[in-house]
Amino acid sequence: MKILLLCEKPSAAKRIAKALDDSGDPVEKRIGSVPYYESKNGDKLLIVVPAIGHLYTVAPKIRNRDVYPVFDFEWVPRYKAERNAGNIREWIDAISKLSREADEFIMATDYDIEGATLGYTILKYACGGKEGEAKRMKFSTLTESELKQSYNELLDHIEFPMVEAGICRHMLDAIYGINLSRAMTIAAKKQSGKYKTLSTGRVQGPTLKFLVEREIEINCFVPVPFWRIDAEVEINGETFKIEYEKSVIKSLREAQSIVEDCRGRDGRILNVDVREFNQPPPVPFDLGTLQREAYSLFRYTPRRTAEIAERLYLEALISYPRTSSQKLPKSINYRAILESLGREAKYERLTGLLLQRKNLTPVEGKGYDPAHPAIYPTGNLPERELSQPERRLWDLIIRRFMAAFGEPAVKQSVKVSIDVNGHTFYLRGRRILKEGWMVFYRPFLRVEDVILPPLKKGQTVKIKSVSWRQDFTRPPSRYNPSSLLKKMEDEGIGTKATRADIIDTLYTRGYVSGDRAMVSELGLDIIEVLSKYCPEVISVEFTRDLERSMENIKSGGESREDVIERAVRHLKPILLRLKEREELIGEELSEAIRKTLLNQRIIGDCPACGSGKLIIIRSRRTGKRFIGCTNFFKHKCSVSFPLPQKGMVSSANKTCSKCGFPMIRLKLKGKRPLTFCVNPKCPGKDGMAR
Amino acid sequence: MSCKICGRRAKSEFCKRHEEAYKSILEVYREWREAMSISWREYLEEIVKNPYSGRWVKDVASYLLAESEDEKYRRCLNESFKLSKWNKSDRRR
Repeated sequence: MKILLLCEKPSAAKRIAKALDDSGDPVEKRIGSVPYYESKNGDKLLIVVPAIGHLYTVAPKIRNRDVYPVFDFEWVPRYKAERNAGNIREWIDAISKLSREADEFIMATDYDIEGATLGYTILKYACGGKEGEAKRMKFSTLTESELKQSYNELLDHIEFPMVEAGICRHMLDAIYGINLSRAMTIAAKKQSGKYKTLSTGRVQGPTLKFLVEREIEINCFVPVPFWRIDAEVEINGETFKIEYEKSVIKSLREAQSIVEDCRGRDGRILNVDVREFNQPPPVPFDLGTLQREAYSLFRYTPRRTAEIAERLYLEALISYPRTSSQKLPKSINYRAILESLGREAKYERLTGLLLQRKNLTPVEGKGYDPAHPAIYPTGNLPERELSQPERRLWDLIIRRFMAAFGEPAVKQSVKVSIDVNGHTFYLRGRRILKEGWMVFYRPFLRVEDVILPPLKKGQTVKIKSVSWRQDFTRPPSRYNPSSLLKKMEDEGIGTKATRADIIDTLYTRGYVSGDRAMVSELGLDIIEVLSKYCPEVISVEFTRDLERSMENIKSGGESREDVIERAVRHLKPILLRLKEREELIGEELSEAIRKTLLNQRIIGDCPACGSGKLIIIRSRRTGKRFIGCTNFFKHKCSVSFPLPQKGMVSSANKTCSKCGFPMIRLKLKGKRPLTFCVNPKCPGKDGMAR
Repeated sequence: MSCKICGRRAKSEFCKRHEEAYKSILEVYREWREAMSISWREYLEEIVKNPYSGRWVKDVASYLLAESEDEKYRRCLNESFKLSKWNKSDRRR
């Protein structure tokens, strides 16, 4: 009997085939460039075939890209709807061919909304309608034991409610994304004559709105002066900084008077307040908390962290990362995982500490996911040399897992109140009394003890210095990829699987740039236009409402058809309104596009004339590109620099440390970007020339 | 009508963005006056050189400083006075 086992990715297929083969050595075969595996399992022959992510996508029935609104959508092979997806045809053909020889079908894609939708569409369209009879393997790790158990305990059918929710999400994203993006792109193109992809979507729009609101706040910010009191106290020959009772003094006169009152005076200790408190261990990682922690510790963007975690999962080193759970069920066998991790010298002592205990109970967070537990290490050790980012993330996940079993840390804080001529100052100390869980998580903690000498009430201390310092109120910080992800989570828009990609799209479209997400003119204008003509599409409430509806579909509370119909009813009048005002919208957007395109060409200030800007120019005569000064056209500056003729050139937004000329970034296909200075005679290039 | 600072579409002298920044400048002047003794011109100069001032705020402050007409200067001053509560109480006194 031949059973076709459908997986999500080639590496997962290889691992599943190996785990289910009686001899642990499946036969690798190929149809064209598509690999598949034959595993013998008792009297059955398993044909384990991978997909490469989604093979089908939602596309409008009308293929003309200049038409909107469109509401008739269908599932089509990706190669029919997307550019650069030509290889998908080979995969669909290979799976179709293998499915014709199969007697039974098992879906072994990731157990989540995307995995379910991906598997469903392949079973339905490539395998000739086998979605109803296919069985389901459910697993959270790619370890041999779990895969075998999952195969032996197959679910009778695929998870249809999750598929319904997945289809609904794809449909809604397409209906919103395609229609609104087309409306803006077409409007701008008609007015400016230039094509520039402008996109927005159900989640993208509200996310960009968060950024724009913050950008406006920052750009309209006027700092207000205030004053701080800096003071130091000397105790037993040692100097400590002390804080004034008010952290902000609103007028210069008041600050001056405080300093006058306290200068040259001694202080008297009014009170010594010692407190001890417990700090519980951090909860196990779900994807969001892992992404935030990795950003804070290693500056990895959420998308990068998700990609690294995915690789670790496919290597069977960690459990499924796209989870919202912060709970570790007993069934994962904590003790076995710790024993296994103890084989790595680095964790031997730490796992030993936990294994000494009779009971192992991890701390749990509020996050819950019915499909998967929190992210945890499987206990497997790497079969290959891990890259530094992979090793770092794996280490972080292991340590967080161990810390979850740790005891609370006990900390002590000391607050000493000092009276100086009627003014109160505070001296603060802190230290860790018992490390508890911190012993496991030590490399990722940034805590410093401030130990104070013994002090008692009524004691006199010497005020060594006291002065005032002017400061200004600060604008709110810009979002970074991590805080934006948190904001999206808090607002309940997007899913754990899509949020990182949406943030990435904002960068790709040129709406946002830099580590601290700075919104471009184009991003500001997109939101201005949408707020003016169709504020409903950037409404967080409506997006959140749709997310809730999709959750309801999963639990059977609402039907897919109803949710889609409601969304179309909502969107139709908006799109008609946009069409009526196409000219106005186009006018407003084309100016921003012109500025954005110009900004993309600007490399930096001209070092020769000082007042012009260096800009990428293409020669009309030769067709070649070079860098010239904007003052050339005013006959003021004739400086020019050569440029490589291949690859994407953009400003690196920095100047050369050797010669001070602006630097550029060259990106060649398939290669790492190169950053270098435009000055061919730069002293830093001497070595290169030799 | 176009914005006198950036040339964008505008209903009055400034576009929506610079109008918003202009309002902030007027509103915050009161807080500066409460904190220290400072004239309108000195205030604008402080804003232009302060690293925490917003981009659009700096644009407007530079524009106001560059504007040589006394009338314009007086108008700004009057508007800021209208907005500030302390000024109202001053008049009552």
